[in-house]
Amino acid sequence: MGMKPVQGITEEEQIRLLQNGDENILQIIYRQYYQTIVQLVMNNSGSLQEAKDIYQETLIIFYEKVKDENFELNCKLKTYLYSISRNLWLKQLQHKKRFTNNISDSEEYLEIPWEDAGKKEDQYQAMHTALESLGEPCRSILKDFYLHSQSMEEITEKFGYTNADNAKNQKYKCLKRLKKIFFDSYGNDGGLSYDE
Amino acid sequence: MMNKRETEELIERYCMGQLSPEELRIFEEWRESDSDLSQAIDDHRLITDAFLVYAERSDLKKKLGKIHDEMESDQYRFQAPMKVIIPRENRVKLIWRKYKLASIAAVLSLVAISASIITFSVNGVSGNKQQSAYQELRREVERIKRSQKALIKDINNKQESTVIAEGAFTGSGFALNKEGYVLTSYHVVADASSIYISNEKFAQLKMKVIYTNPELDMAVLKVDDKDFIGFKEIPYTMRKSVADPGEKVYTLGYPREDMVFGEGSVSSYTGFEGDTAAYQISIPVNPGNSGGPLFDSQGNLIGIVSGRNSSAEGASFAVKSKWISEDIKEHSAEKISMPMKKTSLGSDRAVQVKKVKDFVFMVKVMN
Repeated sequence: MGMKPVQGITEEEQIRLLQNGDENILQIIYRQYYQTIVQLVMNNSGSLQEAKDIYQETLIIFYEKVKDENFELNCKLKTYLYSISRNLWLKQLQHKKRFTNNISDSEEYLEIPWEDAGKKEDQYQAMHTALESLGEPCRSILKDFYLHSQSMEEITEKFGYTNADNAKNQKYKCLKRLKKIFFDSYGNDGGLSYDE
Repeated sequence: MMNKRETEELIERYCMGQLSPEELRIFEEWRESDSDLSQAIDDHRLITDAFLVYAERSDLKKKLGKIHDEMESDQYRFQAPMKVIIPRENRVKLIWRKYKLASIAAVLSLVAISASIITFSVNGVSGNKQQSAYQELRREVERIKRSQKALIKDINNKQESTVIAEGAFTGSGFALNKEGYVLTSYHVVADASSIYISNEKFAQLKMKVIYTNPELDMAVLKVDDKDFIGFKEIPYTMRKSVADPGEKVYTLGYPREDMVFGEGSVSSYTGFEGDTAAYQISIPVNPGNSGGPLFDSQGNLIGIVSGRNSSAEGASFAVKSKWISEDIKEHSAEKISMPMKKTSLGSDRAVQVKKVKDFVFMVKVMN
């Protein structure tokens, strides 16, 4: 299972390389299965552009799953990717009401509920919108602190605040606003900021 | 009592694991007794996680976009409109540099235009005539060599590195049957180390050579991908009778990266130098058209475009499909079925092309 060699390496090895953050393997995988997914989407009333989007979304989901150390591939990689794409495309078709639920398949696929597949993309989109409307300097401050692990002292200096407390206050306001915008568009049932 | 900001800071330090054991103990007690605090912690976790997911996805999307663009530009490089048959010893290195594209394109088109090659179907061609065709060719190649030297010099003066790619050729081809057999010209795939086909429907399919006949300038390829599930039903049929001079015909091919339609009529029952295996046709073809299908007005397959006469404008040649099917039947080790669709394609040419286009491919060859 999963022993099909691609350019001399097995699928297990490909996944291990991917887990180790090997950049080249992503390209190899990308080229290997592109055609399969293009066929799937285009044979089911999709365009080439839609096929490309579905394929990239599929690889993102795959990549996020692989990053989990407990990830185990129980079928051929091709089947796995095809199944993710199939679900995504089916969902999109239903959304667009182009047709109901019949996909003409060229591959085997797994009937697995990809419960969180679309959820993460929704989250991504909500965050994207939120960050867009958040504006500067908030966006940069939050990125520096949460993504680039910069200290408040560094941020104080970079953004020219007179002292760290001012910077902290600014960051607090930024995060509060981000939470508000994000939860508004993400439609989370939470979204309460703490009130005494 | 703490203000909101202090509470948020505490939540943040808690989520980041920065509380002292004493602080942690107090905070957890507080959390258990206060559902609002508990909710605020969940929200904080959710938003910082979403923020991380966002950053990772953005990064990954960029990478995938780049990978995709690279893949497409590789395919473009593959598809560069040039198929020039040059005797081995005269084969020149072709220089590719993206940022010099304009001048290179000029040189390449010079190659394409002046190297009038163009292979002839050899049946019935006398040795002498062939010689003269090649002599003319060699002369042209000398001129190209000079232009290329000039270009290299120009590049060298600027002291920039050059990328030299040798032997990327393209031609056309079309499906013979559902099983993945594709017909093309022999001279397109001669000496190939790898062959791929592509069109709007198929981004890239690896091919292997199944059967060739250099005298008829034909080669049968087959999809070499164990995951390939077959083409759809071939929409055209191979016509059994010979086409007559004056009949309207057309071809589809890939003289450039997009499919190009070309029309004309049958000019003669015979091809170059009276070659009885070929027609002369009045379709202006370009390098890259070789291997393309020749259809009659009803969309029936009557031949395969193989070359043109370098000295006579608008005189092109196509090998007769009848010769090809009989040759394959007689000599191929593998049984290869010919396209035999019973129903007609109708007489509307645009409709015909629409039905047929997915079965015509660009054939890309690396030597």
